[in-house]
Amino acid sequence: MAAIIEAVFGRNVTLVYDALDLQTIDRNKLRGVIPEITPTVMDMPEMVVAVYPPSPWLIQIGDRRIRINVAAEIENIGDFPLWEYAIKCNELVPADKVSIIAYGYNFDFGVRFQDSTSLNTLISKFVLNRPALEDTLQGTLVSYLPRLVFKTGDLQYDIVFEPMNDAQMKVHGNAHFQYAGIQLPPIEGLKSSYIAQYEHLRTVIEKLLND
Amino acid sequence: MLDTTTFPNFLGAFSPKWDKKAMQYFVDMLGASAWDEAYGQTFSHRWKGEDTLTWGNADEWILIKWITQHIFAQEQAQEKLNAFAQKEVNLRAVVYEARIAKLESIYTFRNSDEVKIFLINNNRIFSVLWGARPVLEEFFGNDVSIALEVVNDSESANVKQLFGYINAGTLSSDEAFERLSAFDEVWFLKQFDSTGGSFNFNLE
Repeated sequence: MAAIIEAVFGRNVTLVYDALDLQTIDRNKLRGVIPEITPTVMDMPEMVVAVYPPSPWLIQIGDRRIRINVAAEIENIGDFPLWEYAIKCNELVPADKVSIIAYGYNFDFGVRFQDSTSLNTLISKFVLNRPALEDTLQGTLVSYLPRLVFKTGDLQYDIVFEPMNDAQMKVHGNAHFQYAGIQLPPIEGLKSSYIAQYEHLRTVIEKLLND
Repeated sequence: MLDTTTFPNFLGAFSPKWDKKAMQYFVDMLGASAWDEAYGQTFSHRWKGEDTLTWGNADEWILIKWITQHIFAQEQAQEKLNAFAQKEVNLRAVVYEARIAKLESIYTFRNSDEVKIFLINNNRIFSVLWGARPVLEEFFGNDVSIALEVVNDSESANVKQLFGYINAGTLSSDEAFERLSAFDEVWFLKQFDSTGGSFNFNLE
């Protein structure tokens, strides 16, 4: 295999609401979302952020969204129970007043290249005619960052390729659920969906870069 | 099995292969909110350019820089934290200026100074106004013109309200009213808690 996913830097679960008033968020309950670690909660204009140094968690509330993030570079998805904390964060929002309109997962993959450079791999996969393109540009292609957005039923994917150097590339993958009457699944459903989408994105990215 | 809640070496050199520091990871995560987000998207990728403030929302990048510095200053001396607190006051003024400028690009301000003061005093309205524009365009078309104006409450002269007056263009008054009612029903009434009743839309 020319391209190998060797790290996952960060991952998050994002919840989007039709409205979100930060003043209705109970800061004390927010402090209790992740057990046994007390966060620093910062109120910023239009954003509430809970950070947990030295733990890799970060919860952002703003822009009608709640993001439950983990920044920890490991080889695979890890065992961080984002689904559990996402359910708890969802309970911070007054359910009788606002509705969830979308939820999704984000993963940052680190890909290493062995037999080809990251740029050349992207160009060979996605640019039909490099000489013609460079002729149009009247220059040499130095960087190329494709972004693929595609749908499977109600599920939309978004993949961004971002070469860092010849041997390394960051690839961001997003799985996005949005349809009328959407509800956040219960904890086990959210967990299995999160893991399934991680596996799917990982497989798609590896196939895109290798096949 | 990984420990799911703690990562003791988090602030250390935890990324030997990819040469990335903890602070940068925080910037990545927070930076996702600095992009102009579509209404319902969950996409959460940080775009490059945070240092030149030319990608995404410049004001958000300012906030993110401040937050990141604040997070990593926690181990520093108290006087430094006080200095950060002072910066926050200045930061808010900068952020509000940036947000007002952003709103001026999509709304017309009548008696501009009065509208700006109202927005600063009722800063929860910023995000509602920013989010309302694309929804209003769905109901009234992409070219809809909306003017913001501070008016005295009809029942109490001391209470002021902000109104967004929608110019419905060639629509008949019945059609425009129907669309405004649908906009209220579908979207605006949901935002009531954020506006505190101090802001509303109406037809010109």
